[in-house]
Amino acid sequence: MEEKKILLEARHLWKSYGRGAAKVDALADVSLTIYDGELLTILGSSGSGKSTLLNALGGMDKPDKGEILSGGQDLCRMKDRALTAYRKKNVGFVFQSFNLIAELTARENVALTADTAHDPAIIETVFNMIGMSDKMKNYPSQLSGGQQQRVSIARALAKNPSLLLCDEPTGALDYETGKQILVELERLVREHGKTVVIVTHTQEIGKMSDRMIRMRNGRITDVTENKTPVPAVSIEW
Amino acid sequence: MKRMILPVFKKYKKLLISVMLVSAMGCGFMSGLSSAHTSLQVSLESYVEDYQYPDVMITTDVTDQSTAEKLRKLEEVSAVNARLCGDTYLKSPQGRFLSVRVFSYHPDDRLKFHYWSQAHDDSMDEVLLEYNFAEDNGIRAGDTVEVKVDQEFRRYFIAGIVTNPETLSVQPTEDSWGANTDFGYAYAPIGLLTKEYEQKYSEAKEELDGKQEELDAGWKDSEEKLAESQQKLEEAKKQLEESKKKFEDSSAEAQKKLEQLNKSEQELLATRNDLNRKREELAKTRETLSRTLQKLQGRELTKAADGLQEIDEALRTIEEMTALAGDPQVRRLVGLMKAYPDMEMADLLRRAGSVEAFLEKIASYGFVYDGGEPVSAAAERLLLFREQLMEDVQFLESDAFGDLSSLQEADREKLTALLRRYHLDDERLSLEENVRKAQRELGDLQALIEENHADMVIALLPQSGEEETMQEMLSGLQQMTKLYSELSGYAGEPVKTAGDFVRLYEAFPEEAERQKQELTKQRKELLNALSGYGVSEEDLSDLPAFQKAKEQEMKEGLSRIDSGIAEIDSGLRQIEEGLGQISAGREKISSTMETAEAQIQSAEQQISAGEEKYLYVRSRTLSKLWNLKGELEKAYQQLEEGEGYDQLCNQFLVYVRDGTDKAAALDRLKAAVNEEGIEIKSSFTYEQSAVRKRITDNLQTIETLSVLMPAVFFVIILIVAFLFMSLIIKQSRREIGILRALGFTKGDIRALYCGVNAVTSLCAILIGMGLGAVLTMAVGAYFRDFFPLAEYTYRPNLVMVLLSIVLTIVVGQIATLISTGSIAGIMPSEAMSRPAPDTAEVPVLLEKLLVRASPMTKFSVTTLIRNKMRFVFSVVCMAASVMMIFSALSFITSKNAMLQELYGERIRYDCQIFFKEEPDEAFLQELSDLHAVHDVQQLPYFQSEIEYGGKKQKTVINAVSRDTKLLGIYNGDHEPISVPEEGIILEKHIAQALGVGPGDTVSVGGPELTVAAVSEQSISRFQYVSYETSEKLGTPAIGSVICQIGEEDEQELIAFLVGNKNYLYSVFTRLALQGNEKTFKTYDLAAWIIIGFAILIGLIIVINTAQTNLLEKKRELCVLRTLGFQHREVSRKWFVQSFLQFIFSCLIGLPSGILIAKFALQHLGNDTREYLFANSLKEYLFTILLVLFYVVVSHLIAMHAMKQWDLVESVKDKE
Repeated sequence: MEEKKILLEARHLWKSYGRGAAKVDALADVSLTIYDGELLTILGSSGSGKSTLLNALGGMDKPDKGEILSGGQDLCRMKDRALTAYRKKNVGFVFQSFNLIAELTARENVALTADTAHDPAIIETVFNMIGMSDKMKNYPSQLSGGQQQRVSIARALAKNPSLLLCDEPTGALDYETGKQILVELERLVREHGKTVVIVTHTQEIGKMSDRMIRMRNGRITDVTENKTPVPAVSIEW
Repeated sequence: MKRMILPVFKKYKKLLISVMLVSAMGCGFMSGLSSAHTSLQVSLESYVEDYQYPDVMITTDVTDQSTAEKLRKLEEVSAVNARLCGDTYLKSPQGRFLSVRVFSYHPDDRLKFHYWSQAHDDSMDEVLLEYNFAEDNGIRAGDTVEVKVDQEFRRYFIAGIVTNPETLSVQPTEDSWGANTDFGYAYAPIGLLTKEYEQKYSEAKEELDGKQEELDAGWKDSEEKLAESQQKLEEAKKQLEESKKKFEDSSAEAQKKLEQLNKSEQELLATRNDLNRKREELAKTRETLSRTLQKLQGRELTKAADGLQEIDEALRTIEEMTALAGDPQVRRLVGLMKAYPDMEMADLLRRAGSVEAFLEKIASYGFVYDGGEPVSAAAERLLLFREQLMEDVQFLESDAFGDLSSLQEADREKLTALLRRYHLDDERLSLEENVRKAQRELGDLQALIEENHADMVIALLPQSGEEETMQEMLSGLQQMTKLYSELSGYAGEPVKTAGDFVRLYEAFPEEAERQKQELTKQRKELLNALSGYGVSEEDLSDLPAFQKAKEQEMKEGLSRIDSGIAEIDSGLRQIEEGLGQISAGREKISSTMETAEAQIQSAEQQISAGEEKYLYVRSRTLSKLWNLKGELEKAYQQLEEGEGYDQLCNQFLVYVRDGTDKAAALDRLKAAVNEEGIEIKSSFTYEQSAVRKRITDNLQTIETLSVLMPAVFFVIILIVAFLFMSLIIKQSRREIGILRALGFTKGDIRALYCGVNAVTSLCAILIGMGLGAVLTMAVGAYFRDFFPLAEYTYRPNLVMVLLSIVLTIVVGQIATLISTGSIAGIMPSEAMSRPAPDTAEVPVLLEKLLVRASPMTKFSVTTLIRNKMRFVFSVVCMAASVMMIFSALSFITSKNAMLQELYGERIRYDCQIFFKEEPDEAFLQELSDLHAVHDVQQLPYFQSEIEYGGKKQKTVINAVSRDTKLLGIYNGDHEPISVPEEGIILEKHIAQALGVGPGDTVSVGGPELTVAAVSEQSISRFQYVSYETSEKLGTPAIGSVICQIGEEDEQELIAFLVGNKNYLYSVFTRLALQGNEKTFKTYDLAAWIIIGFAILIGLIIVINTAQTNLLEKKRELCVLRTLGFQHREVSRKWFVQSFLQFIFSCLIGLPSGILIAKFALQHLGNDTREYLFANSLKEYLFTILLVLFYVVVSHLIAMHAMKQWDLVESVKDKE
């Protein structure tokens, strides 16, 4: 059996908010390994700590304790500058609310990250990948939610990251559009060998992934390996 | 809705605090500074009132109490205080001379003093000093000073430092008497002022009495002396008559003797003439002989003999050459030469010379020629000889002579014959040696024959005639060579070719004949010339003997002549002696006569002069005595009438009854004084007074700076507040949309945000009022100490306070209503969604420029262009800061520029000294000689009335040197005007009042002058004429002198001047500038407050603008950070945008600042001062750098805040 290559490994992560009685553990002793080229879903209800975990994995937030190893380096010990460089080089983010720059066209939004990346993808190719070649000159306000989310994915892909972190990528979209986005993400993994982590509260979406992690109250309650992932196009929720 | 107010406050607390702070600052600034003006106005007016400043002030010549009594009786008058005043000098405890104006005071006077400090000492007379003057010069109560009284300094005790409204007018106007500007006010008991005059009276009386006695004694003495002189004159006349008689007797006898002497003299003169003539004749003869002798002895005769010899020599040469040329051989040779015209003569002659030598040479080898042999025969033989030689040489060179032993017999015989033929068979030598010798010598001979010489001989010989012998041919060659030499010399240049020689030869006979004739002629002329000296051709044959004989003969003749002349000279000397004796005798007689005559004449003149002198002295003495008597009587009269106290004045401080028109009362009072025959020096009502003017000037300046400028700034601030408020509401678009969706009406929305704004405005007003009160009190405290005022009343400027409150509320409400109206008007769904951004394209040119820029720079510029409203907001806010800072700075720079123009460019002298009358040359010289003084020029003052077209203006005219460097006169374009010889330069205001311009003719107190130019003066109002023109204007009212001195020399100059009776006072430019600067202190204070405010509010606006922008773009910036952009990169992006906003704000703010400054400065000017906008590069740089500093500071603050942001939270969609 072929051994999987570890892309990221989180060990015993702790993160809490508030003090005293109001103290809430967003992450409580969470350990997790992400393998190269897999599609991972993190499932859980609101407040389960899934987004906190995603932010920690993406170098956007630091846990109070624990370590996250990427290429032998611990993200938790990195300074802001190194963490930013990590985000720039290794991680592509897809937000629930897209977070596109309103004053820039779709192409300019993507170019902004591509122009500064170490090994950028060709912008036109990225747009082709997401099927948005004809909307490159549109401003975010001139695009539908799904189109904006695709541009958001394109922006994440433009810098050719090894890891794509998606925080509720379908959360702000309708069913059909959400499904299209999932299809796109699945294609990135299956056809382009990217590693994609999707955080969602929709259980059904987990079926399309290679592994599913369930979280509750800041803890991982279940890790399920999915030998037969369901194609995204077949998922219904 | 009320519940919503607090959340809105919470959400926009930073922005609302910004609005509140900016509004509060503006509100406080406007209400505070304007109230400071109102407070000062109230305080100054109550100051004047409390201290009972008179309603009318009249300054006159010294008079007595009767005038005051007369004025008191007028119905308009309620009270009159009379006092004496005069200018003098005070010597401070530090030893400095200070100009003071002393007023007498009495405890009953109504004009009161406020005592700042008091001291007491009964042992000395006391003086009160005005506060500012005392402060400036370090004099305190209790000090002892010296005051100049009656030309000497006396000690006084400073009993108090005081102030009253009068002391405000340290800067006199045209209404105040005199024109001194840097004096202080002192108040002293009347004794100080009258002491001088009391003493003067007693001294003058004593002096007059003394003069009267002197006059009486002098009168008597003069009469005695005159009588004595007359008696002496009569005696002298008698003696003169006796002398005259004696002289007449002596002169008759002397005349006889003179006649005899004249006769003897005539005889001697005739003899002398005769002898002189003879002597001249002899001298002439001697000269002729001497000249002849000199010539005989000289080189001329030798030269003549040599010349004759040369001519004969030349003739002989010609004869010889003619003979040569005629030689048949020569002629034949020349004939031959014609065939070789190009042959070089030098070559030809060399060959000819070597022919004989050649023949001799070959003779030794067996070729023998005979001189008598015909040339043709010799030639034939010579050819044969050569042929034989060739053959022999060839034989000798054959191989057979390699080994002689193997020589065949036939050849041996041939060889023997050959050797013999050439005489080379030397028996002493072996055959072999002989052969070798023959080989060598015959070879040489062959070479010789083959040379040119032999060729020529061989060539020449056959051409000779049959008849010619070798000897003749050779002789001919010699002759020709000789002829060539002669002819070459004769021709004067070398004859190069045979052709040249032939031509010379053929021309020679004719030329020789011409030369011969010429020489013969010269010879004849020379002989003729010699015969003139008695020299014949024979004499020349033995010239020395001839010369010797002639010399002897001449010398004897000369000796005879010399002795004749000596005899004549002796006779002449005797005659001269005789004549000398006659002349001496005559001179002696004449001298005696003349002496006697002169003595008589002198005596006559002395007597006549004595008579004249006597009459003159008599009339002068009597006239002088009468004059003295008259003057003395007049002096007594003047003394009794108190005249001559021109430096002392009386002042009447008049208080009129309530409701009386002060101007009309003044007219009545002046009429009453005039009736007394007393001259009025100045008169004015309180409204016209210097005190009032000072108050008005100060208040006007402060009003402009503290009311106008805060108002302008407040408007700018309100615009900024308006923009901030609009921005807050724009950012509430989503919330408004939600509220609208929930069913809130437009009115509800308006009410909500108007409520928020009202609370903000009210807070701003409360804070602003507090700040305003603090500002009013701080400024008031300064004003109180500055003037100084005993009481200071704080009075708010209600209009400005209310205006600031109303405007703060109204502007905020308008901004709220407009903004909420526009947002509440759109559909809730649209309002809740994010507004579509500006989708403007980046201009192509800019895009090209940005090709190589970093992605972040491109991003910065692109987002800036597509966010125009934000950009405009930021630029307007920043421009407001630039505008306020820059315009505020211009108040100080414009004031400094005005003073610099006056004291740096227009007044270039250090000191102006005023005199009662124009100082004379001697005094000016004395002044110039002072160590302290350089470059002295007169600047007399003429007080005159200028008239044009019925309009009249009273003014002061200065007469200046046309080439003055101590004064700068400029026109409106700031170009220097030179003083014309004819005409007048009028000051702008006077010219405007009269309605005249350059070229018009005005009447200046009678004389008509053309207006040469119109000058622009910021403070002074003088007209200028040249010294030449000033002569038409009569006597100056005041004499004045301007000069350059060093600061350290001021006291030396005053020490010199205070002793001069003609001296009035002096104005030092340095002190005048200091004084002027002092009057600007209130201005400076207000200006610095404005600058400080502008700098502070500018900082707040810039920081708030940056913060507002940052908050709006927080999410965007966090997304960038999430995408992996470093803090540094995002910071750069932010700074690029801020910097572009800064550049545009400068481009808008600086020109707007200039406009505001010009507008305000226009309102600052008054009759005597004009402020012109004058900012230098320094102010531009300061403003730009300061605002840039603000931008950097606000950027650092923003970036610090950005570091604290939580990226995760910031990129989330939050409700």
